[in-house]
Amino acid sequence: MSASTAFKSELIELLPSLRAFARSLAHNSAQADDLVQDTLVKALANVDRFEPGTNLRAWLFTILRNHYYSQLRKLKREVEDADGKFAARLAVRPEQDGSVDLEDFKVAFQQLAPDHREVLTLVGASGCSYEEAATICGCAVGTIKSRVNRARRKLADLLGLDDDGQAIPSEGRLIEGTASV
Amino acid sequence: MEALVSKKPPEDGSYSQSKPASAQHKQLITRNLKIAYGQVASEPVPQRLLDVLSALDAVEEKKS
Repeated sequence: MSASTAFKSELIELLPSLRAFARSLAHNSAQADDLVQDTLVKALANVDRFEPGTNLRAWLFTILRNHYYSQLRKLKREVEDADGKFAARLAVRPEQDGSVDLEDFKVAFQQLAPDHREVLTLVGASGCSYEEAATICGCAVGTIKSRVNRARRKLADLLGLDDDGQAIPSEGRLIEGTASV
Repeated sequence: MEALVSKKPPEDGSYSQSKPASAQHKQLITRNLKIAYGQVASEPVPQRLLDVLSALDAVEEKKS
C-alpha cells in the first residue's frame, strides 16, 4: 500500500468522527459538512506537512477547528444571536418526568459558546484525552480541564438540572426544534 | 423521543444518592454527548466528501 493510499484510508476512517466534531461546532448539518469538506481540501493541500505516524485525528481536528473560527470571525454578524432566535426556542417544558430528552439536550448544547461545545465534544464524546484536546485547541491542559468543568456547569444550568442530575420541570426549559451536535 | 435519563438508579448498584451532584451531571452530560456524537458518526458519509478524497488518487496518478 502506498503512503498516499494509506493516508486516504485513514482519512476515510476518520471522516465520521470529523463530521461529528464539525456538527458540534456548526449550526446545521450542511454547514458542518461544508466545514469537513474545506478541512479535507486544506489537509490534502498541506499533506506534505503531515508527518506519517503522528496523530492524524488531532491534525485534522485542528485544521477543522481553525477553519471554523476563521469563518466565525468573518461571518460574526451572521452567527451572532442578535435577534434572539436561539433564546426563542426556549419554551415551557411540558414533560414532568424529570428526565432529559436528547433533542432538548442538543438544543441546550447549541446554546453553549463554541469553545465550550468543542471541549465537551472532544473530551466527552470523541474520546480525546485532555492532552490531545489541548493540542487541538492550542492551549494548556489545565485550560481544557477548567473549560470542560465550566461547560458542564453551564450545560447543566441550561438543562435545568437539579442536584440529582435530573431536569427540574418547574424551570420551564424546553426547547422546541432541534439542533445538531 | 424517549427519555435518556431515568430517575431509577442502575440495577448494578453503581449509582448512589451520596454521589456528588457534579458527578451525576457529568454522567448525564457525557452519556447524552456520546449518543449525539454517535448518531452523527454512524451516518453514511456524504459522497461529496469522498469525492474530495479522490483528488488524492489523481495526485498519485500524476506522480506515476
